[in-house]
Amino acid sequence: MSQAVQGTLDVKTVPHKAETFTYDDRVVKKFILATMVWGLVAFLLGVTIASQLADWRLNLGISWLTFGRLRPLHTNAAIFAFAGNAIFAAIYYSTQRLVKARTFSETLSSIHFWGWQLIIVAAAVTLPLGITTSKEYAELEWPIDLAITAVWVVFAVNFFGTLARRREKHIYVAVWFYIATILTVALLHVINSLAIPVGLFKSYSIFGGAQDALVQWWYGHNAVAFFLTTPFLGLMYYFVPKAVGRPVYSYRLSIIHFWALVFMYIWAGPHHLLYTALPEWAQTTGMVFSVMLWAPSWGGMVNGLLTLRGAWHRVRTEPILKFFVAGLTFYGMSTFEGPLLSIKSVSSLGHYTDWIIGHVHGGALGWNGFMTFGMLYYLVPKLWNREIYSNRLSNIHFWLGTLGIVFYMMSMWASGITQGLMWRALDESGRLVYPDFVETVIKIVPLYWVRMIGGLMYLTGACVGVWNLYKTIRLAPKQEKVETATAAPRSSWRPEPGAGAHRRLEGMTTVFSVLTFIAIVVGGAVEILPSVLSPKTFHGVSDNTVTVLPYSPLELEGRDIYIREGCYTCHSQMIRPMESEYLRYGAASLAEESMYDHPFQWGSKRTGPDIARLGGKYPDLWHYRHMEDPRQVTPRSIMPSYPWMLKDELDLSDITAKLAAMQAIGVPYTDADVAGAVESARAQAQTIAQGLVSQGVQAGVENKEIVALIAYLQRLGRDYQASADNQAASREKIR
Amino acid sequence: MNVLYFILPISLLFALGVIVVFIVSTLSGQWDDLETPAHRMLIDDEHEPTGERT
Amino acid sequence: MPRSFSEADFCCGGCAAAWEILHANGLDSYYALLASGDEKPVPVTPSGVDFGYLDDPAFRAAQARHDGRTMDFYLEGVHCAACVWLVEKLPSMVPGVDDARLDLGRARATVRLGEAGSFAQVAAQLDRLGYRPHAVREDEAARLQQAENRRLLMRIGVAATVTMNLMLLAIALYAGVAGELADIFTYLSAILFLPVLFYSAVPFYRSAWGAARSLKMSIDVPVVLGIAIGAAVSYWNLLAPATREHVYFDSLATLVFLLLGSRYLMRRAQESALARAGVLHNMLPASVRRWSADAGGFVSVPVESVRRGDRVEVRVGEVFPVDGRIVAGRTRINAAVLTGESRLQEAGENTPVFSGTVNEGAAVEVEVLASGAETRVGQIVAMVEEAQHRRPRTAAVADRIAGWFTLAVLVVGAATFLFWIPSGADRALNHVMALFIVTCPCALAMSAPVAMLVSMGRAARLGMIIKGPDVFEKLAAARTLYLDKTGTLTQGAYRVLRWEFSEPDEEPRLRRIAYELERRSNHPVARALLEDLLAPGSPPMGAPVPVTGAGERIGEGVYGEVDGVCYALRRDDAAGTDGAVESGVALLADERVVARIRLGDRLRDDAGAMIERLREAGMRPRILSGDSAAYVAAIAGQVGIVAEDRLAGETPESKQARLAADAGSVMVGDGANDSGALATAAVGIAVHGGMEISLRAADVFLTRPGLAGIATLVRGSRETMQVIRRNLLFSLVYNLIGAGLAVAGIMSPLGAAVLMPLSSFTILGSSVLGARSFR
Repeated sequence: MSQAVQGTLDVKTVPHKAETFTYDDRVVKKFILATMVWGLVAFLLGVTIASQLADWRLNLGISWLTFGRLRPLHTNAAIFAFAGNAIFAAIYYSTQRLVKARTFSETLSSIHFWGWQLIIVAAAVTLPLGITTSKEYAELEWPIDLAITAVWVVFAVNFFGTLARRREKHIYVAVWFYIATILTVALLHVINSLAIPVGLFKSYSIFGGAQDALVQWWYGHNAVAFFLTTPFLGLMYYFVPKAVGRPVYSYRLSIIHFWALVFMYIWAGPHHLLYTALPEWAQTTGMVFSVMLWAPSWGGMVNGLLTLRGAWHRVRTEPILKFFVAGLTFYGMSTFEGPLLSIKSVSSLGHYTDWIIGHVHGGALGWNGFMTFGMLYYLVPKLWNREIYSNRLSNIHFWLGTLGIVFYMMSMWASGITQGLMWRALDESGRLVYPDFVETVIKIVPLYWVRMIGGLMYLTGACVGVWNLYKTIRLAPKQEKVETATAAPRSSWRPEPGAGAHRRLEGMTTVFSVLTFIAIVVGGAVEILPSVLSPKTFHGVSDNTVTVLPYSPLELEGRDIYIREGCYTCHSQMIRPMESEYLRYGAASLAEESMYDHPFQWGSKRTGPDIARLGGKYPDLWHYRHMEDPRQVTPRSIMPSYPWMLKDELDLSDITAKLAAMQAIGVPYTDADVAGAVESARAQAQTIAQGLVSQGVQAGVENKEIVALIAYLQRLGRDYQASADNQAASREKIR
Repeated sequence: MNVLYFILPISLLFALGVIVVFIVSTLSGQWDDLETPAHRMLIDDEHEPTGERT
Repeated sequence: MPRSFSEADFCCGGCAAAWEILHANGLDSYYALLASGDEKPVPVTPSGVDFGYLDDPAFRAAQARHDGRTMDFYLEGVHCAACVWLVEKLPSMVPGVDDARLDLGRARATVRLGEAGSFAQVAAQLDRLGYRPHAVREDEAARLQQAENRRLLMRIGVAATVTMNLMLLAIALYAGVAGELADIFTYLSAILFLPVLFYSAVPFYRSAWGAARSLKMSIDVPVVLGIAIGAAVSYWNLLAPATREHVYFDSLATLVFLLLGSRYLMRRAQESALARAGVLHNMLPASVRRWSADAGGFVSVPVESVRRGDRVEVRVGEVFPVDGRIVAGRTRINAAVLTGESRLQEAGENTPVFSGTVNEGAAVEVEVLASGAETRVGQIVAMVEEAQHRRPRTAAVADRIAGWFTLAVLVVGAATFLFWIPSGADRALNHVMALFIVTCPCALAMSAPVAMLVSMGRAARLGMIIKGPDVFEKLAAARTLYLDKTGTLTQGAYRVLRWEFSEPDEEPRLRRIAYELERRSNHPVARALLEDLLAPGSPPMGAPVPVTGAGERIGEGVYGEVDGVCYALRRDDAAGTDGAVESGVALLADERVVARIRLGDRLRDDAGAMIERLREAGMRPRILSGDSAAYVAAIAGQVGIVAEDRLAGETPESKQARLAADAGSVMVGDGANDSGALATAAVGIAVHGGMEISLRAADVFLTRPGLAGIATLVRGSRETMQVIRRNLLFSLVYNLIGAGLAVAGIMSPLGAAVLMPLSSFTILGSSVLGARSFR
C-alpha cells in the first residue's frame, strides 16, 4: 500500500530531490497496547503486595504468592514491563519523526517487541517460583539476562540504524536522552549481571559483599536514572511541546540539562548505602553528587513547565496537559526529595523505612505513570485516527490517579518517619524505648491500609484510562492510517565551508554516543574502584580484621532458600554504626563479614528487623516454629508463614556444583570441601535435626529445607562474635 | 596498584572523548542555532494520503 | 489535524493566495500549526517585486556562496514554527531546490539549488508566502563572529568536562580517601587540569597580555595571576608527599569554567539582540529594469550595474532605485522616506526623483543622475554609519571599577606576600592565591552585564529590541526626549476624519457613488476613502449604481457618469487649514459640490497617555518634525506639548544638528529622514516600521505599534541601573571581606574557590529579580 502512497504523492509537486517515506507506526501501536496491559498487571501486583503487608493472611500460605516472591515481580513489572514498553513506544514514535526517517528495520522492530514481551512473561513465571538472583530490579536469572542483552542489542541496532539514515541534520535533545538511555542501560545491565551459573535456574554474582553492594546500587540507582528518568525526559521534551503546540521553553537549557544529568547521575549511586560498610569517602562522594543533582533536575522540570507559558488555561480543559503538568510536578517533588534523602543525617532516619517506598512511588506513579498516560492520550487518537472516546473518563482517570498518589505518599511519609523515630527512640537512661521491633510494626499497619487504598485508587484510575483508550481504538476507522512524510535526503545537506566538515557531521551521532558511553564508564570505574582495590585499602571502615570463614555447604543451601523466598525484601543484614542500632542489633556490620556473600544480602528495607547478628540469638526450635507460623513466637508479627519449608524435601543435588562455582569466584573452599559437600551437609543437618526432634519436632526433619535455613540463620554474625576485641573496636566506632 | 592502570587511561580517554565531541559538534555547527530546532520539531509534515489509498 | 479552509475564511486576498499555494502542495498543516500556536493567519501582501536579477549571472556570482548554488536570504516576518516549516518546505514547492534551512534567530534562510533552479522563483515563492526576501551576502564579519563563538564554546566544553571530573576526585579527596588511592586521585587531577590550563584559559592570557602591553588595567590580570600562582603552587605541592593534599586544580578549573561561561552568554545575547534588529540588508531594491537597445525593451539588472544616463522603468508601488529625473509619464511620489512628509507629491516630466521614495501613481521612466552611494539616500546611509562610528562607546560601569579594583588587588597581593614571606614562601603563596581567587572580579564584572542582559532579554519579549547593553545606562540618565511626528505620534497614514454632505438624505447614495468611483484607484486618498467606507460600523452605502466612463486623471482625481450625472472626486483646495486636516476632497455632481471629505493623519490613540507617563518619569518630550508649524502645533496641542517644545520644518540634517547640540537626549522616530538623528542621539528609538535604514541607526527598535513601550523602556532602564548598583555594592562588599580574610591568612584557597562561585550566583539571582517593568 505504501506503493499506492508513493503514487499519489508523485502526482503532487514533490520535487525530484526530496524523498517521500512512510513512518512505521505498527510497532509503536504494539508497544502502546503492551504498555496498557502490563501497566494494569504491575498496578494490580502492587495493590496485592500492599494488602499482604496490611494483613499477612493474604499471603494465603501459598509459596508462589507470598510477598517475598511477588514484590520482585511487582517492581520488575512496573519498571521493565510498564515503563519499558512505554519508553519503546515513545522512542520508536518520536525518533522517526525527529530524524525524518523510517525505522531501520521492521523485522528488528518485531524481534524487539516480541522478545521483550517474552522476557516479561519469563519473569512472571520464574520470579513467583523463587528463581531469583536477589539483586533488586535485576532479580531475573542469567538465561533471561542473556535474552535481555540480546533484545537490547537488537533495539540499539534498530535505533542507531534509524539515526544513521536520518534526513534531519540536527539531533534534537530528546534523541540524545534516548542515546544515553540505550548505551547506559546496556552497560549497567551487563556489569551488574555478571554471574557464574549453577545449572539453568541458579547463578552467583561474581562480585561479593561490599563490592557486590557497590555494583548493585550503582546499577540500582542508575536503573532509576537511565531507565525511569532520561528516557522519560526525552519523552517529555518531545511530547510536551507537541501537546502544547509550542517550542520547549529554552532549548539551550534542555541541552545543558542533558549533559549535567548524564555526568552527575552516574556518581550518585552510593547514596543507597549511606551508613553501611562502604568506605566513608565513597558515601560522601555519592551524597554530594546526589545533592548536586537537584539543580539539573529542577532545571528540566522548570523548562518543561514553562513550555506551557501562555497555555495554562488549556490545562484546565485538556487531560493530556493535566497529566503532563502533574507528571512534571511529581518529577520536581521526587527530584527534590531524593537529594534530601541522600543527606546522611536525613538518610539515617529514612533509610530502611517506608519513606523510601513513598519516595520511589512518587516518582513511579507520578512521573513515569502520568507522563506515560499523557503520552498515551496523545498518541492513541493520533495513531488510530480517531478522537479520544471520552474526555470525561480521561479526567476521572487523572483525578483518581492523583488522589491515589497523594494517599500513597502521605501514608508512607507518616509510616516511614514514625517507624524511623521509634527505632531510634532512647529513654533518658539510654535504653531503647521500643526494644520490641514488632511494636514499631503494629504502629504503622493502619497506614499500610491507607497505602493500599491509595494504590487501589490509582489502579482504578488506570482501568478507567485503559478502558477509555480501548474504546477509542475499537471505534477507530478500520482503514489503517499510514503517515507519510517528505524530506530532502541527507545527501542534500549543505556542505559546511571547509573540507571534511560534512563527514565530521556524519559522525556526530557516533561521537555523542561515545561521549555518553565514556562518561558512564568513568563513573562506573570510580565507583567500582574500591572493589578492585586490595582489601587493605578497601576496608577503610574497620581497623581490625575478622576471620571470616566461608559458609558450610548446608548453610549455603539455606542461604539459597533465604534468597529464593525473597527474605531480603523485608530483612536487612547491615547494622549501621548508630547507638540505637547497636543497642537493638549489636555491633555495626563490617565489610569483611559479607565478603563471601555472592550476592550480598544487605537488603534495603526493614519491614522486619535486621538479622545480621541473628546467629545464636534464638534456639533452633524458635526458628522452626517461627517459619511454621511467626505468630507462634512473635504475637502480632506480620510476617507470612512458610509451612512448605517444613514439608519440602531438602535438595542437595547441586550443592557440589554450587561450592565449585563459589570456589571459582574466589571463595576459599578447598577441593576437599567441594568433594565432601554432600556428606558435610547431611552431617550438619543431622545434628540440627536431632536437636529439634529431641524438642518434640517429628522425625525426618533432617531431610527438610527448614534445617538448611536454620543452619544459615544461626550462622549469621558468628564470625564476628568470634573475636571480642572487634566488638570493642566497633564500639569505638560508634563514639 | 592495578587500580592505577585501570582508572588512569579511562579518565584520560574520557577527557579526550569530550574534547573531541565538542570540537566536532561545534565545528559542524550543531550549536550555532539553538533556537530553530525547538520550533522545527513541532511539525511532522504528514500529508495523509486519505482517499486515493486503497 | 489539518483543518479545511475555503476562500471565505481569509481576511484578505493575500491570505487566500497563500492558502492556495499551501493547499496545492498539501501543506494545510500550516494552519493547524498556526491555530495551535494561537496565531491568526496573517494578511499576506506580495510586494510583486521582480526578482529576475537574482538569476543574473553577475549578481549570482557576487551574492551566492562558494559553491555558487547556495544563497542566503534575510526574510521579513518569520516568527514561529509554522514559518520554519513553511520555508523549509521550499524543496517541495519550488522545483530545483535541494535544501532550505531557516535560522529563526537571525531570520536567515539558506537555500541551495540543484543543477537547474532559479533563485528568482525561490524569492518569488517566499514573497507570495509573505516573507519578503532580501538576498544577503554571507559577510566576512558574521563568519568570523561565528568562528569565534565556536572556539569559545570548545574551550567551555573542555573546561566543563574537566571540571566535572576534578570535582569528583576532589570531593573524594576531601571526604578522606587515604593511601595510594589518594595519590592516584591527586595525580589524575594534575593531568586532567592541563587542558584547562593550556587551552581553555587562553583567552584570559591573551586579554591580560594585551592589557599589560598597553599598560591598561583589565579584570583578566588577577584572573591570570590567580590561575598562574594556583597552578604553580599546586604542581609544586604535588612533588612533596607532605604537601600533596594542598592542590587546587578543581578550584581553578571551576573558576575558568564559570568565567568563560558568563562571557559566552554575554556574547550570544548581544548578537541575537543585534540579529533580531534585522539590520543586515539594504532597503533599496537590488534590481532595476534598464532600457536595453539590443533587447528592444527593459531588462532587469542588478542596481549596481546602473550608470548615470541610463534609462530605467519604475512601476507602481516600486521604490525608486536611483536619483534622477522623470523622462516619461506622470505620477505621484511618496517621499516620506526623505522628508517625513506623508503628503504625496505630483510628478511629471523632468521632476527630479530620489532613490528610496515610492512611486505611487503610475509607471514612469527615469533618467539616472546618481546611483548607489552618490544618491541622497546613499549619503544619508553614509551619514548614519559615520554617526555610528562617532558615537562614544560607553564602557560598562563595572569595567571601570574593576580596573581600579584590580590594581588595588595586585598591590594588596604583593603586600600580603611580603607580609607572610617570613613564615615560608609556601604559606605566603597560598594566602596570595586565596586573595586572587576570592577577589576574582567575576562577580564584579558580571554585576552590570548580567543585569543588562536579563533586561535585554525581557525587553525583547515585550517587543523592544535593544542593540547594546549601554542603552540602559544612557536612557536612565536622559532627560529630554525628541519625538518625530510622522508615524510616531501620528499613525503616519491618511485617514478620513469626517464627511460633510450638503444633502444629508442623499448620504447613502453618495457614499456608494464615491465608492464606485474610487474603487479602481490606488491613490492614497482613494485607499483612505475605501477603508473608511468599508470599515465596520460606518454608515451604510446605498444600492450599487452603474458607473459609465469611469476614469482617473493623475493630479486631478477620479470621475464617472451615474445615470446622466457626471460625478467627480477632486482635491478640495477649500479644505480649511484647521490644524489636523491635511487635505480634503470634494465630491462634485456636474461641478456642484455635494459632499466634502476631510482627510488627515490621526494621532496614535496612546500618544497622550504616553506623553503623560514620560512626564511622570521626569522626561521632557519635544516634537521634532519636518511638517509645517501649523500642523505640528495642531498635533502638539492635542497631546499638550508646549510651544517652545514644538520644532517644525526640520530637515534630516537640522534634526541631527539639534540632537548633537542637546547631548544625552533621546530621539524617537522612524523613516530614513530620522536615521541621522537617531544615530546622533544618545539613544535612538525606532518606532514601528520595517525601515531598515532607521534600524541601522537606532539603538532600540519597538516591534509593536504604539508608544507604550517607550515609557516602559525608560522606567525599565532606571530599574536596571538600580539593580546594577545593588550588584556592584554587593560584590564590592563581598570582595573587601574576602580580601580581608585572605590577607589575614584566615581563608584557604579552597574556601575562596567555594566563595567565589557563590558570589557570582548571588549576582545572578539579584539580576534576575531586578527590573520589574520588563517582566
